[in-house]
Amino acid sequence: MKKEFQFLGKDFPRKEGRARANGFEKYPSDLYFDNMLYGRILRSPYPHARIKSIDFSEAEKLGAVCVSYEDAPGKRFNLRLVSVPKATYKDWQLFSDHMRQVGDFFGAVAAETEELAEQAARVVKVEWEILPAYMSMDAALAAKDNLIHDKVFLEDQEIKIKNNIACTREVVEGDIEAGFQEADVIVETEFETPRQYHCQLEPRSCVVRPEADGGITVWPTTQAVHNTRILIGSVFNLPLNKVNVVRITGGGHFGSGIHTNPVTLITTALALKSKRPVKIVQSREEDMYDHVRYPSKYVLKVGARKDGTLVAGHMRAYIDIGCHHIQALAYLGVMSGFWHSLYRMENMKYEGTAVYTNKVPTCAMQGYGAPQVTFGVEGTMDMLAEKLEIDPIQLRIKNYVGLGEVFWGQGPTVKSPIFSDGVVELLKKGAESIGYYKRPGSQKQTGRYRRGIGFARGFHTSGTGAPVPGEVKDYTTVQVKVNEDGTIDILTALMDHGGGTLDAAAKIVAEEFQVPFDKVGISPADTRSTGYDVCTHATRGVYCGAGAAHEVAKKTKDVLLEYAARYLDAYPDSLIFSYDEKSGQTRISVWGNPEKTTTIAAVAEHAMNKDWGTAIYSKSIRKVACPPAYTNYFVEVEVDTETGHVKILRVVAGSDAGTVINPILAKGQLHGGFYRGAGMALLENTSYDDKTGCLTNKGSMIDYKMLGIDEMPDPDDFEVIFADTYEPTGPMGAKGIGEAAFNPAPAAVTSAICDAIGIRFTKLPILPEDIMDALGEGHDK
Amino acid sequence: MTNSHTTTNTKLINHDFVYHSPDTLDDALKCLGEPGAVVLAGGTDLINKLKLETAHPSTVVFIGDVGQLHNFTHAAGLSIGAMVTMSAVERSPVVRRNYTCLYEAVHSVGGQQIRNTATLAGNVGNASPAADAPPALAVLGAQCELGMIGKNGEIEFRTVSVEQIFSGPGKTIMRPGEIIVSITVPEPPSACGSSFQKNGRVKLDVAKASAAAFLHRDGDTCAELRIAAGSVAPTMVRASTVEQALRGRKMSMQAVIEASGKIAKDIAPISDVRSTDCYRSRVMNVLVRDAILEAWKRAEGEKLV
Amino acid sequence: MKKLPIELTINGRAHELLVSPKETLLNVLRERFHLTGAKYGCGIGECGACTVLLDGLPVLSCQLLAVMCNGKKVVTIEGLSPQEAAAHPMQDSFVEEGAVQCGFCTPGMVISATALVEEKSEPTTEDIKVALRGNLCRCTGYENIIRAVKTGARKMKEV
Repeated sequence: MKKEFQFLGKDFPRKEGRARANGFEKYPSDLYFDNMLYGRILRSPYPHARIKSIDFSEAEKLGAVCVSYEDAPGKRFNLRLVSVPKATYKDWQLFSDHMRQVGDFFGAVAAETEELAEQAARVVKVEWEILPAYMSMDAALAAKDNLIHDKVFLEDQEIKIKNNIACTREVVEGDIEAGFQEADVIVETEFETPRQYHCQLEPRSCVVRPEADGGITVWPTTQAVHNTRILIGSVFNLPLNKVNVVRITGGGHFGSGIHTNPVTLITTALALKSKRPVKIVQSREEDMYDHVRYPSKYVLKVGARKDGTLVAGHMRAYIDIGCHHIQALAYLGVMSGFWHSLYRMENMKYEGTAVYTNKVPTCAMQGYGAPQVTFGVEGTMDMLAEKLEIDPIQLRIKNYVGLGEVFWGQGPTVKSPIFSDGVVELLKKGAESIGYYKRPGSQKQTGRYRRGIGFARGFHTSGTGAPVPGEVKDYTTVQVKVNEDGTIDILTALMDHGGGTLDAAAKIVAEEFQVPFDKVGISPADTRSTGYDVCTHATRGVYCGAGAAHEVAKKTKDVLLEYAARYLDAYPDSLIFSYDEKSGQTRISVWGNPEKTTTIAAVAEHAMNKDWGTAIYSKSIRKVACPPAYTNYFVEVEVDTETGHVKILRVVAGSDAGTVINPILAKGQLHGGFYRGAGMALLENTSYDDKTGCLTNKGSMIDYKMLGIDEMPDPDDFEVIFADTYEPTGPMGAKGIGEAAFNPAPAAVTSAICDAIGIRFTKLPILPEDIMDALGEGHDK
Repeated sequence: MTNSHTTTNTKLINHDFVYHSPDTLDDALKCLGEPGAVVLAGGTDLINKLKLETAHPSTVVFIGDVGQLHNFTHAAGLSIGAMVTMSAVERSPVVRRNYTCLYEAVHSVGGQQIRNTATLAGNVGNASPAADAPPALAVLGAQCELGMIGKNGEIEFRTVSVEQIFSGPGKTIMRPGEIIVSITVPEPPSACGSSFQKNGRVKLDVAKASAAAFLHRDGDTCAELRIAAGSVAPTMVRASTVEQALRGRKMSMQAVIEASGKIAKDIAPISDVRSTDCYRSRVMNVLVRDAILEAWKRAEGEKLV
Repeated sequence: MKKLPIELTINGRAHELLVSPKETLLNVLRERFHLTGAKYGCGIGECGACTVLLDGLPVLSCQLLAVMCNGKKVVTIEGLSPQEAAAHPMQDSFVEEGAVQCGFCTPGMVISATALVEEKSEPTTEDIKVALRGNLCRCTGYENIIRAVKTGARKMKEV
């Protein structure tokens, strides 16, 4: 059911576009203030060590301001405040004397110039006690003492850690033993996905300026201004009204800004001590030691009946979370949630274990746990289809969780019904467009270059809203006001990472008021002037964030309607808004009385002059559902069997985002999500030298390779199909898209490779070396 | 107690050095004669070494103001001064037509921004085993003209072939104070063709393995064949076993496949962060074969069956 | 470390400055002139976010010492359009075609794209790939960028 929109579904130049294209947009690393100091973080050269003493005297002689555990509060916290306290594990400290990774931070110096700060950092002297390092899950799990963390806190409860296990999670539905008895076919496979690095182009950075009233202003790279403010207030014992975190564009996040980055807290510590503005821009190498995606290693066993119905599933997962807990507990839950919500299974058991190692700490990256799970689940579905001799697409259609069903969203505590579903439409259209039923198959192909067509489907929740409160917070506060000339301002702490979230909010409000897009403004925002917004993550920007803007806009409109009614001597319920393209004005008219008409501008001005007031409203809005944004990718690849290179020839993307607010930006999300997902499938990974604990790529982008402009298909070979759906609970029928654009991509590329050369890879990334090894040995898996 | 410093900081250069920018070759070589002096041409190698602290020169001598080093001529062979950029070499229609493997090698280096400042001489002088230009230059018979200030205070020139200049990873046989002044490439006779094949993780990459082939055709015979391999040994190497197997022989697909299959004898690849020794060996076979086939086609030979 | 005097013309204006030989062109542009359009993304010449024009050719400013640029002309993204609010047709095209997401790579991309079109007024997809290979984007997946360069080329022809 599609509605006719005045502004939605049309493309307008994005609001911050010109500033970014002209180079005038400021990112945190671009800010320069008078009297500013430059910071440099002090980091451990060892993967596991304790600091016995630090000597700052040489650094201080250079005029540097120094901070370390010797002048820090020491309380434990989690950098991420999205989860409620009772689901938040706290194992971070500012600062610790226990170093848990190469590059772990134990202090910082600040000086007048970058060069001086660098010199000061190099003359800080440390006495070390080296501890045994655990560079693999096996080594970590075998440890009895010298643990990476002895104890952590869950809310305020102290928890002793054993065998470096950070947390575990088990989710059971039905009876899997009985279920497997009923199965005619069982497939059991071990899957592995890599430690992909976000590689957002701007390294995590922060600027903090002390203010005259004893407070601070903070400009961080972040996705969560309010959580950053609350954390800073908590760690440094500052009242929140004295901590102002400003929303500022970041050079890419992809999940690395959901939690407050250590650089933000460290910069704050230096600013408070020096009483001067301080800026820290991490080097790329530091950034690579700062955060990374959750990898996964899991065994997935699924049973199905002859007719293709799934009857039972068992997933046992081990997750190497690196040296700190950011959202591992939530991640384990999310794995079970995405698994449960991809396909119906009466009986399932999920067992997840998160293990500490002396590696870079893991955090969410686009998709969170969905790409990892989708990779194994879609591979399993293809294997089942093969064994059952059922069309792989029909097998999906038969079992997928869709319209009318209740799904788990991101985990067992977030359940909501599904109201819109474009899955079948997208599978059918995609299959047709790419020629899925004419796919080459590996059997008959000879010769150097082999082609294959594959697909995978998936989804992401639009946010984490639910009917009852759960483990994560989810709401957004918005204020909408009508200005005295009829233009509109939207004030909210919601962030836009580049996907067009704020543009979507503006467009939806524009549509509600029938006011043109460039007359609806997004106000600058900071934590002092806005109410709480949990964070822009979990694909909640449009559905929850712009959705909140829509709800509030309707209330603001009510105030305006009341003024208009007074002005026109009519009743509010009889008034209609319409956009007059010729005059560029938005009219308010009375039903059936065309002579009783005015403009929004006239009403607003009149309301001001008559002292009636501003048409304004502000509220926190929580969505009570998190509808799945479905996607699928059909991919055609060409494998060079002499070099193992995989070329992506064609992509047909299918996206069910409900009402598509900004088509060109939505397509951009699919291009980008596919590109990062294909990168995970073919190339991206970070690994360690077991002896030194250092990254084998030394933190350099020279050896963190990503697909480039040459590796992506030509624009004409990347087709996007949007489903014709309307989400009734979403703003103007919209759902999300962001992470849904990533999730099935790795599985789709893997499936295409399988069609080309008959080898189904179960470990990512699939490097040319792996393809040559597999072809050489005539492997089947 | 040890210093805490661990990660490098590519935002800046920490190391202090004395900087010279002479405008004559004589002055440049005199500066380079100082102990601890290194040459700066395009900067794309040295600046990274300074940032990553793998080089700590006391003096840096920028040769960009020395006019004669920018000379690039292509009548009767190429003469490429030390400051001639990769971009200038790449854009020359003469290079593209007659010294095709050099064009292909240079074109494969980085993005166009790098090629606009990086110099051909620098790619040789930096002596990375994975450098792209050296194998192509070697099969074309390129020579390096080296210069330094001799004991008598006058400039001393000598010529060393590109093939002979490397002595180890990152090392050349150049003496302290000696630099490449120009690179010359002899004009190939007619009925010649060349090709450069590179394998990387993605298009914009350091080579995992590379092969350059230069071939002189005499009717349907391979009269002369020169092959060089990059990134599969401590330095670039000539694939003499492969060359011997094909030199003077009548060309056929079978002959090429047999000959390129012998490449393993000429190389010693390692496993590192970019690839494995096993993969590099496998892929060299393909690169050598493809380079020979392409060179033959360009020598206007018939497509081989 | 002794500072040396150099002359740099930046966006059409001549400047005399004293720089330390080890200062990169990128750092001089950003820290002295607050021309922050050129970005630090990697520092080692891999990402292209620091791309500027040097005597008309796109170069990586993190791979050049300021002293090496003595007497040369530098054009940054800020210099591509004459006034702050006006836009170069290539800049507008990037916005129109959805080629700007987080925007961090955009200045470098636009510089490389503009230089390409000034040389080849109707670039093919292959020409665009070659010219932009050295500019990495982590957001867009490149498709809209390729479209934007073609649209920009058309607009630049009209001007």
